[in-house]
This record gives sequence, C-alpha cells and structure tokens, in this order.
Amino acid sequence: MKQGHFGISVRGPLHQQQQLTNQDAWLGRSSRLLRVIAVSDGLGSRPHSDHGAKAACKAVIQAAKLWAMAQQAEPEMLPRLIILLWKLLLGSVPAKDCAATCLFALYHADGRLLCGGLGDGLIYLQSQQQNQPILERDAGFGNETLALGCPHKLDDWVLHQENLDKQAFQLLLATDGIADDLQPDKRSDFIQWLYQDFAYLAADKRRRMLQKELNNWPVPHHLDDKTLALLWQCEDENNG
Amino acid sequence: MALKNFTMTAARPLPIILLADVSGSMSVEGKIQALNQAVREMNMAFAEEEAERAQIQVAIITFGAGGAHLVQELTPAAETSWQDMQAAGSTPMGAAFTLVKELVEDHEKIPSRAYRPTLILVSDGEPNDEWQAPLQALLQSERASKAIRFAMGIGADADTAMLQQFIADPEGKVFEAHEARQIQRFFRWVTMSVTSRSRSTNPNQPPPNQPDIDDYEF
Repeated sequence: MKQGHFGISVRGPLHQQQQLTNQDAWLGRSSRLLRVIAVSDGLGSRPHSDHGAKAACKAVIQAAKLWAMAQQAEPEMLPRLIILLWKLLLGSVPAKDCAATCLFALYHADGRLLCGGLGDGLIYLQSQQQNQPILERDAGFGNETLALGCPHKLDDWVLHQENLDKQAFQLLLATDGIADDLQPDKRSDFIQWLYQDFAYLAADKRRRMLQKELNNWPVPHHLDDKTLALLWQCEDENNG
Repeated sequence: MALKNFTMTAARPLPIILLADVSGSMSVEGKIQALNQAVREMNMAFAEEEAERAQIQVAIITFGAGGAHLVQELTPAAETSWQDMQAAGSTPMGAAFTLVKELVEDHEKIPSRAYRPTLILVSDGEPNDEWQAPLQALLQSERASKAIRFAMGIGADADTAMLQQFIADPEGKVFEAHEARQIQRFFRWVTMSVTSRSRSTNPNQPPPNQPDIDDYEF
C-alpha cells in the first residue's frame, strides 16, 4: 500500500482586512512508524490564538510519536499528552490567551488509524467500511466551539480508532472556515476532488493550486481562515 | 470539477425571530399600528444592510386569535414581503414559546453554521394559556437556550416579571414602552444591535450593553 498526506492553510479575508496573521495552522509528518496530520483553528477572540494553533499542531505531532512508541497505549491517553505538550509549547503565554481547536489523525504502520479532536471543524473518513463524518458540528451555532485553553472535560474529545491495514482510505481534517461552508451531501465528493486532483501533484505545485482555490472560496461573505489536511492510503498501482 | 460544486451558495444565516403579541388589547391606542410600522422599518433596514459576515433572516410568530402562528418562515430580509398584523383574541404566549422552540431546534431551518438567533418578544399583557412549562422548555433546550433574547412590554398591563423570565439574564432588562412611538424606538435599537453584530468579527456575541431606549430616536 502507498500512503501520503498534504495540507494547506490560508488567511481569510477578515484577517487580511485587519492585517492580522492567519489564526489557523496545519502540520503533517511521517516516519516509518507513523503518519500524522493536524489542523487547528485559533479562537478569534483570543490575543495569541495564532500561537495556540501552531502549538496545537506541534503538540499533536510530538504526542503522536510518544503514543505510537508505547506498547498497548490506550487512545484516551493521547488527548492528555496533547494538552500537556500544548501547554509546554506555549511557554509563558497564558493558555486562555491561546485557545485553539485541535483535530488530528495518525496512521500507524501496523494499520491502526486513530483520529479525533476537540472543537468544531470536520473529520471525515472514507474507507471500505466508512463514508461519514467522525467529528462535525452537530449542535450549537457557528463560531461556538470547545478548544484547548477553554474549560472542557476529557470526555469532550472525540476519539475514533479502527484498523485500516491494507485498505484504501482518505481522511479529511478541516477547520470551520471550510467545514461549515461545505454542503453536507457533497463532503464525500469534495474529498474525492482533493484526492484525485491534488494528491499526486508535486508539493510546490499542489500548494500553489490549493492556495488559489481557497483564496477564491466561492461562498458569499466568507471571512474565516481556511485550513485542511488530507491523509490517504491506496493500492500501490494507483497513480504515481 | 470546481470548488463551487461542493460549497454552500448562501452566506451564514443570522436568524431574527419576532414573537409578536397580536391579542385584542393591541388594537387600542395605536399599538398594533406602531408595531406594524416598526417591524416594517426593521425589515427594510435589514433588507438594505450589506452585511459583511452574515445573511440576516427574519421569521415572525404571532400569538392572538386562534393561537400562535408562524406567519413568516425564516426568510432572507431582502426577500420578505410584509403583511400588516391584525390584533384580536387572547394572549396564547405559551403556544408561541413552543413554536419558537421547535423552530430554533430545527437543524434544517437553522443549520449549525448559522450564528446565534435573536428572539424578540413583544407583549402588552399577561399570557392566558399555560406558559411556564413551555418557557422552561425553551430556556432549557440545547439551542434555544443559547439564543440572544430581547423583550419589550407595552403599556401598564404588560407582565414585566414574565418578560424578565424570558430574557433569563439578570443583567438584561425588559424594555418598557409607555406609548406607541417607543415601540419604534425599541425596534430601531434592535435593528442597530443586529446590524452591528452582522458586521462584527463575532456575530455570536450579543451587544455588551443595552442602552436606554430613549437614546434611540433618530
């Protein structure tokens, strides 16, 4: 089987107008043992949410490595590690000033997929067994979310684990700037479009093309930052 | 294949739901005429608003003769066609609470990408149906409990204590209109509040302070 991942994050029109930085972030890493992606959306009302979002993605990568090296580690241990590492990475900046959502997916060399997160956005898995969201906004209203740096319980984290050894799949993480604007019945098609049109491009070309697409987001009055990451596995003979 | 094939075609909704008392007592002292005029002006102001972040949608629930009725479904303000309300009958406010709860909890009509709805309750009297249980159900429901709520009591017979329970915010105050023109002031204030939310970085935030209604005569 062949695996890959990519991601993109663009600053939305609101932060461009306000000359603020992108408050979303994404990160992806791979090794022989593990492939990890993370996206995070810093809460706009917090002064250092851009720092919080970047730290959230780094914390996921570091936590995933530690978690994957441990024998028989329970999925529930991963959020604890992420929270701890996120606070360490913030340094002296108070956590409440850095509040950010945190969505992640990690794929272990033994075929285990573990994905989940805290806060709004979208996690959508397409495999032989699944074609549905793992995490989505199902209550409340736009711009209301749980986040690192906001009071929450460990039970608030969504966690999903399944074995996808030798199976083709695509898994999308997206912040709410993308997730809330997708038609619910077109999310699967959106993932297929991302995978088929972008997964096998050279990284530079892919980044330029995705940036262009997201900067020309077609929804009226859209203002949010937009971030996505896709992790996929396919048969060796597929494409490049 | 283009991105627009997968995305929504409309901006995020910012729903405004008016619960209007159209009982018989509203027909005296020009109250219903003032309410009709005020709501018409509010609709026009919303229709002209070039909201930066949201599409303002308006729904109207009346309660009076024949019970509570959703007389206007949530509709983009620019697409509304206003029909004057007629005042008659009693004050079945409990039925209106039930109706608005059903509307706010309906994920088809108010999708989760919508900003927090604003509920506006206007009444000149006491409810005369069972209202306490429907109000509690409204205040305790998952989504309706998060709505931003305003209330205006018209005249001396308005049940201000009940309206305060509807607001359910110790810092929020019931607007009191002692004459018809104050109804328009209230709606001008609501209009300012909603349009400023629709332009703000976080339209989910209610206005920080409710200014005195007398400040809003333009």
